[in-house]
Amino acid sequence: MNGVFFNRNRRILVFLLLLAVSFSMMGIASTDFAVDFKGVFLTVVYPFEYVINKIFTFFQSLWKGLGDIETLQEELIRTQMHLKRYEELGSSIDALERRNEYLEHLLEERRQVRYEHVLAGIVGKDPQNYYQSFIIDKGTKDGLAKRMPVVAYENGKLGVVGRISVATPTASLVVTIRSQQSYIGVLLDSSRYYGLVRGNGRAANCLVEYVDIDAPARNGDWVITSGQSDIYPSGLSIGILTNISRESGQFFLRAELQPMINFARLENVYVIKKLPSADIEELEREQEKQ
Amino acid sequence: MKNTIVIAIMILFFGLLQSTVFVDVLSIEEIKPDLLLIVIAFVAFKYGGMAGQLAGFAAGIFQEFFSPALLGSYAFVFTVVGYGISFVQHKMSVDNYITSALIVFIATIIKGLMFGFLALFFGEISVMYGSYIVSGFLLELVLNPLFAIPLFWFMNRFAAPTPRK
Repeated sequence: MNGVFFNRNRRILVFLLLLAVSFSMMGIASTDFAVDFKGVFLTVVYPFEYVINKIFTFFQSLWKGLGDIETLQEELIRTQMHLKRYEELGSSIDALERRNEYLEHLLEERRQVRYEHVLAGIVGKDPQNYYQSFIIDKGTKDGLAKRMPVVAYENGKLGVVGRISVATPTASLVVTIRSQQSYIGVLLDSSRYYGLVRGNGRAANCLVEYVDIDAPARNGDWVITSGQSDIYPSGLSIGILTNISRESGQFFLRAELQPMINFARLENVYVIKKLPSADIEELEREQEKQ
Repeated sequence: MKNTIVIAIMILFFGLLQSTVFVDVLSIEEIKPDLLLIVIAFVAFKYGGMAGQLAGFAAGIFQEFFSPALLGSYAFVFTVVGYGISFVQHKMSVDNYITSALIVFIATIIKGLMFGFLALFFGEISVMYGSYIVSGFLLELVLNPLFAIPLFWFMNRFAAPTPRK
């Protein structure tokens, strides 16, 4: 009897079972168990993703290289002419100076990252839109750990990218400031008013919250980290204010933040080897439970 | 058995592809086509509801490991997509380009509706739902059907024939 019922309604029963399992997973997704489970999966899948990324990068370079052959030939002829001229001049001082300038620029960029850091390349990005997360090619073997802040350079300026969410021996999952899991204590750089920047999940801009309605904030004002969250060091640029609005009777103004980092173009990031203090982590965990 | 292997390979291949920088090249205004949704729509349309919903569940779980999305949310949405699309199976031909675009258009609408349904229960989803509908969803409604045409053609070359009833 039961067997007949099951056979007749097998499809709908399996459907309901899968929905129940999905719902249960969503219910427990906020526990650490779910996150660790992700870590195990990431460890298994990372090599495949790394290989696909390498293959794609290889073909991309090959394609670009083929397209550039003509340009390279022209440049080669020009370079040969330049070389001849330099040889005639009997000096290569200019070239040496330019090389020196470039190396000094690189050195200066690294000096600006005042903290101990690790340079990492991006090997995988969020399957969905808006670059809420990505995978980098460095992990616990390189001294990285969960909750370490991640920064990058944009037009010569250091800006916040996000934080490490899952760290495995060879790779790490970075959650960007656009993710709805991201909260950062911030400061309006010009007026020194405090606030909170929260990821919007499905939009390019983040939300700026808890900024006093009387703050003299204007579109285009820079927003920097306040250092209050203990994850991000203070004074790092995040982005600029936009779409500011004030409603009478409210304590706080409404605004959005346009991140300074262009996530679509991001190739390399710096992971700052700084961990929150154990006490603050404990307090935050208790706050999350409440 | 052959079907199961082919479907598993499709999910793995397009799931990994979706998380690489390759798909960024195809994006418009930072919105990229949902390749896994297209795969699930194809599987459900070609092999029916049971295969569609199981593939949807597996693909959803697979995708969630690469994304900060709420664990179980994509499994739920893709399961419903897999089950829902099977209702138009045998009514249209998988070789028809317009059919493939139409199927994926419907699948994208189901995806949007299901996220709306989940937003009623889960705060994490309701926070992002409004902006998803006004920006990402509308572009996906255009992008997904466009990419469905070559992808359906490609997958149909490798897929085993539809089982006879």
